[in-house]
Amino acid sequence: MINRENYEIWFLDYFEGDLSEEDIRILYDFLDKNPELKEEFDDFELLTLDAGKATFNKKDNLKQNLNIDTIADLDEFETLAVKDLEGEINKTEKAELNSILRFSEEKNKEFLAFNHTILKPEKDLIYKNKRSLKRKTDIVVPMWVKIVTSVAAVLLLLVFAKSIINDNSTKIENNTKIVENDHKNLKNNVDKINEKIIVEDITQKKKNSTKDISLKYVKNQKSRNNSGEKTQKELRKEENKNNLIAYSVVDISIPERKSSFKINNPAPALKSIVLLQGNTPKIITKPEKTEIVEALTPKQFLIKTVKTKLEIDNKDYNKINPIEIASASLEKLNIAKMDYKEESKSKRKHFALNIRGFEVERSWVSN
Amino acid sequence: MTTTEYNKCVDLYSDNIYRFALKNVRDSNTANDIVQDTYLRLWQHVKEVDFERVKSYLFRITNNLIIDLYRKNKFVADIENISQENYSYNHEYSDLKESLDKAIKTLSNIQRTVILLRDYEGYSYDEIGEITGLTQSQVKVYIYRGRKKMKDHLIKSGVEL
Repeated sequence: MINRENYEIWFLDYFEGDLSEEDIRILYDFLDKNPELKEEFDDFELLTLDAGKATFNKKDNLKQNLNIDTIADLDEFETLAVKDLEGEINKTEKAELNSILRFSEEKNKEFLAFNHTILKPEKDLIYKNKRSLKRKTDIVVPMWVKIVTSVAAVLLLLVFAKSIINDNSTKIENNTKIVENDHKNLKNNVDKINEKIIVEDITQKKKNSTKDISLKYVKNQKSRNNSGEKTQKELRKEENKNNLIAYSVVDISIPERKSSFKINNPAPALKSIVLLQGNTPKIITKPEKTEIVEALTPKQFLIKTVKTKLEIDNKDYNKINPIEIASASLEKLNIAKMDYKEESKSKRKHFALNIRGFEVERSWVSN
Repeated sequence: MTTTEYNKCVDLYSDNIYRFALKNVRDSNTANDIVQDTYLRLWQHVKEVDFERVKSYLFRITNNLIIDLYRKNKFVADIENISQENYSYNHEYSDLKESLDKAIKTLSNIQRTVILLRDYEGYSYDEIGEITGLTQSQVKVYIYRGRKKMKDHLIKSGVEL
């Protein structure tokens, strides 16, 4: 039923001719009862649009299967020429084209120009970043291979784990013993050398108020001889400096167990550094040159030695690890040639060490 | 298409795509970007693309990217509607290739595209239509008109033919 909510739909249906006679009578009754809507009803009647007389002039451009012969921009000769270029020309058209070309020089020039419109790819234009476009290739592994591999890996792991568990305890025990024995042997060797040197030299120093020239460090011997005016204190200072070098030689051999070789007392002087000829030590008593001796730590001593030997730059030297060198030299101690002698008359004792050209000798008088 | 086939596509067609893009945009950096984008899009749909039809697919992507570029940046002015009389011709052209390059520039974007696909890649009208979204007749018309325009340019430039 028509009401004020839906009257617009009734109006529209009325003007569209969709209302029955009964509905039209109901509509008129509604308008009589609502005269204010009568004007709106009349306006509905005026809502008609004029289609106009505008036309679209380019219908041909929209049509499909357009005949090339009717392309507006091309004349007959141009169409035949392009057809020839495109390989679409038939025999009749070819004859017609030839007849045009035969009698017109201008058309020949045009035809030549047409031939140049066929573009040729420039092969020297190459895309250089092909590698950046490529992707990693998939490796297709069949499913059965994956399963077999997985099972085999698990079995292998189980067998391996079992054997490790069985052998682990005994291996650890054996390894520990081997390491302990090696360390003990090494420690004993080095302890023997150092304790004798240290104890004997300290005892000797206490008893002898006058200095034994042979106990002086070879490199300072000449300067000491020349400077007769030096006091005991000065001499002791120089000896201490030399001792640092001497002990650095010993310390190098035992980097991992330094605490075992801690020196509590002032160290005695090193007698001399000698060149061994065969197995017989030869003491150099009169070195030709005098050098200023610096107090060096074991690390500094190593650095200086390596630098001198290799003539290496400071920046490059950093790539060499002194600890590794020290460890290597510790291993060499086992294969070193060592000699220890005691002269019965003079009670003088000699110690000599040679590790592949690195040679040290000491001598002292025992009480 | 597998990854191996995809990598083969790079070897086979990246040069062609690069030349096609370069001739259209006339800037090597932009052409490089277009090649990168083209192969990226191929990779994103690598499973869906058949290896036998991948070349057309690549050119279709490239053509779309070039059209997007034109629309976005108005990179190259479409000069199809500029009358021939407004062109200034330099009669000092002596090099045919240089003159031909200039002639290509006088083409509209779509004319240039269809002629490049036709001459560089040897595509049929149908294939060009598939790549560009044109009908076979439209492709023909663009090619015929394009060649006529290039011919007119060569004649007017006074280059020795």
